[in-house]
Amino acid sequence: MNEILVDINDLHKRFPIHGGLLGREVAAVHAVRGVSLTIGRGETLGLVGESGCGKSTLAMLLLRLIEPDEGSISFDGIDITKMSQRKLRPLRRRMQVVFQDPYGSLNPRMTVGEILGEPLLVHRVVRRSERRDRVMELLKLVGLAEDSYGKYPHEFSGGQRQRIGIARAIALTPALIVADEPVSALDISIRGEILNLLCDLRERFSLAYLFIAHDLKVVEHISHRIAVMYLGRIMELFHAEGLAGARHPYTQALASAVPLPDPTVRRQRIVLSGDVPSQLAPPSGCPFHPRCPYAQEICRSVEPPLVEYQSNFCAACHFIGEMSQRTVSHVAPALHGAC
Amino acid sequence: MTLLSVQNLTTHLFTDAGVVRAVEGVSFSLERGESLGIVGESGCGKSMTALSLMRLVPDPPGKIVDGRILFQLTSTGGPVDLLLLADEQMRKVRGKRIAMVFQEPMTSLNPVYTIGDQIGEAIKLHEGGSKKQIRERVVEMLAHVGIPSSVKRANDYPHQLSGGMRQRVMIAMALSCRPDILLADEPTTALDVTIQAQILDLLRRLQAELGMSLVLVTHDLGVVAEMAHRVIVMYAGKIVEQGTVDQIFKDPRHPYTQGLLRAIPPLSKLPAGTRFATIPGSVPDLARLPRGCSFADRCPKVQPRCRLEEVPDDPCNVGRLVRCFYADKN
Repeated sequence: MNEILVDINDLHKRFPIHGGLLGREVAAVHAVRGVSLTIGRGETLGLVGESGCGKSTLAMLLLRLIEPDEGSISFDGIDITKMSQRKLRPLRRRMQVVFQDPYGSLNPRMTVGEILGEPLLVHRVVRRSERRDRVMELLKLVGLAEDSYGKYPHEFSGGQRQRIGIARAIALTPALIVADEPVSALDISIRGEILNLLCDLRERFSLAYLFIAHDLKVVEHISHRIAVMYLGRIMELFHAEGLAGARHPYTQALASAVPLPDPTVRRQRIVLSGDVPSQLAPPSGCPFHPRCPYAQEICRSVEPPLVEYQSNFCAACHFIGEMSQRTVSHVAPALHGAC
Repeated sequence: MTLLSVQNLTTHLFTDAGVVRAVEGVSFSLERGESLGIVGESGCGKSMTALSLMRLVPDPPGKIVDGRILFQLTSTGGPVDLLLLADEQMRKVRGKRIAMVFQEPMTSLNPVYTIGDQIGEAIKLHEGGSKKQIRERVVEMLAHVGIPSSVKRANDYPHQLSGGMRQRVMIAMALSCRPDILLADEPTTALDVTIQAQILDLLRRLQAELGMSLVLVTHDLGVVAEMAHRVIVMYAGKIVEQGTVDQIFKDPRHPYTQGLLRAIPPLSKLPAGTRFATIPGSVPDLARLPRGCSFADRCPKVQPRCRLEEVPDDPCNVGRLVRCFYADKN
């Protein structure tokens, strides 16, 4: 897992906003501000953050679906930052994506057989005569019945549609799958099945995932490492086993905000006041300081760098050394044993 | 005191594909000041139940075909069946005595009116008063739900507010006439967790201050555990289990409730190689429900009897509604 598959270095993306009579640039949304990350071969990196924090923009940059303003992206040792779309094409086989909305991401006029057969055809991986067999194999891999081949997306439930999306992503045996909120739209009873499927496929094909979600709990279970994003920056990066030891005030607040399914645990919650600030006018200094309960004078003016404060833990906070571990520890309830 | 007593509520949707039994014989009661959680997955009938209580089921295709909704309309008289009220009388209940907050704060606010106008409309309609009085009340309500600089904010349009702020406006609107019951249909589902925490805290605080009852419809068992006193678990249009929050979370008896609880990601990271617990299969088609227990096809403990007989409310006499023949053994 030490071999690096994706190496993102100091990536920036600004979306200019044009206005006025002459359509001049009047403002810009700085969606990704200096993000550096690596994803190892076969590794799952969880990316968490609230809506508008730039996590989906980062994913699109990585897939070169939008162009970065600054910084570099390398995939499997090759710098793809400036690579032409034509040269990029063979590499696209090796990086695939699963979207959040299983309804919107499948063409309603194509049968499942056509949806899954198309990438095979476009990239000329199998002969025409072998295509059907390969699609059947894919259906089996993701746990769909063989008769799904001739059916249309509307004939499937949300969970099954997400399976089709996953089958399409693995059709070209990629090395990396970007999964953008793949289970957020699903019911809890279905969610587990899809997560299990993603885990099975990961082991089978030694896939690397960039797993994007807003739910820290889901990310914790599936990821090897977790990156927490806020206003376009990485606030904390740590090994998933260590979530309870993550010390950044924002990570702690995110973790404590998840309601626990146990009525006897009355957790003292860190309720953040206010909303995520506008990307148009990000706060000076540490982007989190307006909502941070521990903010000091320096936080308003100086932006803290991401530094390793403990082995396997990096955070961008001036006072990380003074932050104690989770102020309120999780009391493990006997809930799961009781059922 | 029982504020609301729902008896055998049955709402069907008459579609081309057949009769969809969205709510089937649902009965429960609600005390003053109590929080009731209604949980279940999409399509289980929980939102339809909430809409039925407000008599807002879209007609066609929906119709409340049976049941009674007994509501304590006046403090002295006996309860009144809301289903028998004339439309005009029902309008006086809706918004004034029973108010509702919907999931989508963007689509439930009118984009061309300021939020002050929209909150004021409810007050004007139900309580009246001079323009100035209404305005003062609006500003007071906005401050109450934690919107900063509320005087200025009252002139804002919905698009100028964030999702969390919009949901606060919805709550301010619902509470502006001090209702006895607040129906909240997935009030935090569209929000980020940190904002969800704020809204849940707000609801809890306002409920205690105003002494109102809360019906919280959600699919998130975590939210229910934090907010509710009692819980109703729905599956395929029916209540499958009902109990206090402790009973549901510590002593669940229906295999569906047990499955739902197991499906929540556990608190600490699973060891490598272990998998999430799931409920295999999917929700049955409500227009073509199988005979017997609707959960039978997905139940790990299914017996031949489950597919033959309708399951009564409490066949095992566990003392509360658990719609399972084997509730005492689960």
